[in-house]
Amino acid sequence: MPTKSKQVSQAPTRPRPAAERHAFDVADLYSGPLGDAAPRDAEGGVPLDEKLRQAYFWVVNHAIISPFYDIEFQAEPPAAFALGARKVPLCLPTAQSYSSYVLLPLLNLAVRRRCLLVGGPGRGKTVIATLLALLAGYSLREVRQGIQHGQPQMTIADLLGNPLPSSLVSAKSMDEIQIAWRKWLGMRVKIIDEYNRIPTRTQSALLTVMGDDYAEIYDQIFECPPAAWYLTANDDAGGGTYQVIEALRDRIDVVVKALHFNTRFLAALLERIEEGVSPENAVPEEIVFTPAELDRIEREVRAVPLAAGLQKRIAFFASELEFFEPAARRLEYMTKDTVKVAGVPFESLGELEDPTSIGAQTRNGLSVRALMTCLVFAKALAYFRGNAEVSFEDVRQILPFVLHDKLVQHKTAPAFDAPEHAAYRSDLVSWIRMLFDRSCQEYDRLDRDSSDPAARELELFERGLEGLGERAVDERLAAIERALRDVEKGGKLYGHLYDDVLALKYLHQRYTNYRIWLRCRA
Amino acid sequence: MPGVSELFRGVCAGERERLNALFRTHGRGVEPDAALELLRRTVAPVVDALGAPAAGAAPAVATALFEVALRGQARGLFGARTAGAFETALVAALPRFGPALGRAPRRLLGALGNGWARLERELGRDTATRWLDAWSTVAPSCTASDEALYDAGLVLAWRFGLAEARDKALARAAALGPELCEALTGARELDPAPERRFAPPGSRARLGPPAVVARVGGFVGFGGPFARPPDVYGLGGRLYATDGDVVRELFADVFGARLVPTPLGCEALLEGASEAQVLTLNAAGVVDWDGARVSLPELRDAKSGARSPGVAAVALATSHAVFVLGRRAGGA
Repeated sequence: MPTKSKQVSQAPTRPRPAAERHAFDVADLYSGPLGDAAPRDAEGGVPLDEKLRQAYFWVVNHAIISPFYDIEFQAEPPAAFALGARKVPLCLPTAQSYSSYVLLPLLNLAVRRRCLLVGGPGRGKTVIATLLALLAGYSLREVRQGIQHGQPQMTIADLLGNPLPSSLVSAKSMDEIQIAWRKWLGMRVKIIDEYNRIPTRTQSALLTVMGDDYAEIYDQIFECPPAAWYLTANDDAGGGTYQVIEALRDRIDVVVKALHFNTRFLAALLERIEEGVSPENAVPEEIVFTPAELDRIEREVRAVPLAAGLQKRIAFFASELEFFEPAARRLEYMTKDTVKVAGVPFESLGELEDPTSIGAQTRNGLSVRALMTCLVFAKALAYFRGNAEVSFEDVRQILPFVLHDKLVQHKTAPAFDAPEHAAYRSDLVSWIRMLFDRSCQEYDRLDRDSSDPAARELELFERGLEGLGERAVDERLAAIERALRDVEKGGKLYGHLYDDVLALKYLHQRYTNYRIWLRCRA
Repeated sequence: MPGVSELFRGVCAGERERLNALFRTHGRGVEPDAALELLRRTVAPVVDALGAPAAGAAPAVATALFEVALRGQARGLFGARTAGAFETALVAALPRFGPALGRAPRRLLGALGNGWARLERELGRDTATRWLDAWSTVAPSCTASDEALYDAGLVLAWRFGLAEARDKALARAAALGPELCEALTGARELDPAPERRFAPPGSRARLGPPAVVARVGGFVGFGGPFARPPDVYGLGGRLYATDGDVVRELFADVFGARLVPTPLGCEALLEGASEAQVLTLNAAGVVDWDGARVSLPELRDAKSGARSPGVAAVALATSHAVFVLGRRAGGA
């Protein structure tokens, strides 16, 4: 442990080109060598994105030895190298870059979602979860009391609480039974250690708390406050003592893998032993967030805009993943979800027409929840970086961690047969990033920014139908039919076209109904 | 630890592990004896002065003060063997903060130390010490909230000459209420009109003619910021001075005038400088101020002038200083 274990990086942690004006702030007077003492709760006080970055840099510099920069940003073309016989690319980032193992859990604290930390024993999974609870303002004792340690004998009562024996005896109805709820249910940071060692039945109770923010015993309900969840598991495959139920896995928003220990940093470990100070005991007060600050961060993250052009790229990517033409005879059901729900092996239905397409590499598409999580974490990353809006690179960097457990890989897809692609079977982060890159290449090749008939029709429709005459409606219906003819002429059906076709059909129906109404009124 | 009170002895016993951990964390380079002396010399008197009524807060105050003292030693705020200026002033002033100290000792100590360090750097040691003393004097009146206490410290910093804090201080003072405002500035109400920025708070006297109210800047060899005689420019309603390399923003009012570093670069300043903010003055030093013409012989041969509401700046070819012009109350 470095001796300056309480030293917090000085603001600005992400220097930018000079602003044109500088307004004196009270923080200027009270900030300095003894740490930031500026007001904490006042709206417009300390910039909380700055504080988040200070927290990040304290963790990576003083708490978790994680000398990795796997979330890379470039300000200018980087120096690039090709290493080894496989010519593994190495880029030296030219802008501030981050370690996913620290950044993602911190963003999870900001947006209060559910983060799974995966890695072998002794990799610091529980330590980072504990540190984040300390950053949320809990004492070490409270955090330790609140950690739920998964074990094969864990019962629902162990997890949630017990009915008070006295009320069990005296109660005349279920309503009168009083429950001694476990304290962790009311915490704003919830830590479940080794969640894949929890028995299946108890996992179901955990699912209710995680998914719906309440616990239930004997008809009594405990409403849990919004919380950031941290679950740890030694086994990425969802194994462990018990198989994790799919619904529980699906509730996890972001998956972070503990990276290996770089032995070049052994000296830092030795120093830590010699100093005898553990990071949990040395969290600086300046980077501890109050509940009001965490609420404010969550609000501010949600307010970060995401431009329409970027939304279209995300939509294009998602549409390519869901479409599965062999799944049905009817257009609406041509999705991977149809096959999954039917319980039919994918292999029995054949493959997509284009086996190299990104859709051919997955066994599922993106759920609404997955898409929402992508958007939230992309906003969180942009906020953390102090950006006014979400950038393309924010989305590109965050997607693999959000979709890690959500996109099921088609392991035997022909795309992985090439030796240079085989590693994608185990390196899901690189695989998902590659899928998004390819999707964006295709988006650009099709010139979707300017050539997108469905988007044009949707935009027209969004302007409203008020005052629209029958003649104009006829023109729009004709335009929709022309757009569908063009798809027909193209021959092949792709994921993005599939969503376009369904959207055009939707518009056609809305206009048709409106025209019927116009005629009736006439 | 000999020579300390029972109260402090009890605090040390109860917080032994925490104090030891703080020493291990922040005390590299500090001799164990020096740390003990720090406890005896600085922490003990504060804990004793808080006394039995605040005994519940004593452990938190003691650990926070010990941490700040260890961190502050590396920055020269706290002495190694004997008390420094800040330390002496702090020990005298701290107990007067009373309940606010007990509620959030670490935050208050950080604010006191950082504020003192900044004012010492910007305005000198005496001013910083007077600021700390004045703040502790008004602290018992800041009962509305802890934020009111910090706002009061800011208003005092402005009153002691931190001119760049003017806008924020005016806003905060208005929110503190008339009694506290009077205790801080001498007036129950402050006039934010920029034209009256050189009139004392509360003064209703007529403004006098424009005059040179301050000189700031200076040659880099004598502690000033400029290597060459600067020019002055107006941009976005603000005033700047630059020698072609260094750019400083001018803040001035009745409590002081200061040139403050700004992120604005010289190129951006020259590109964006506003014609509308140019001050009209001729070679004889006659200044045109809102239609009135005033002769200021010391500004003869001025090479540039700029103005914003209530204040103007003039630079001479023969001086590394920037002359600040304004209208004092009653023509004083």
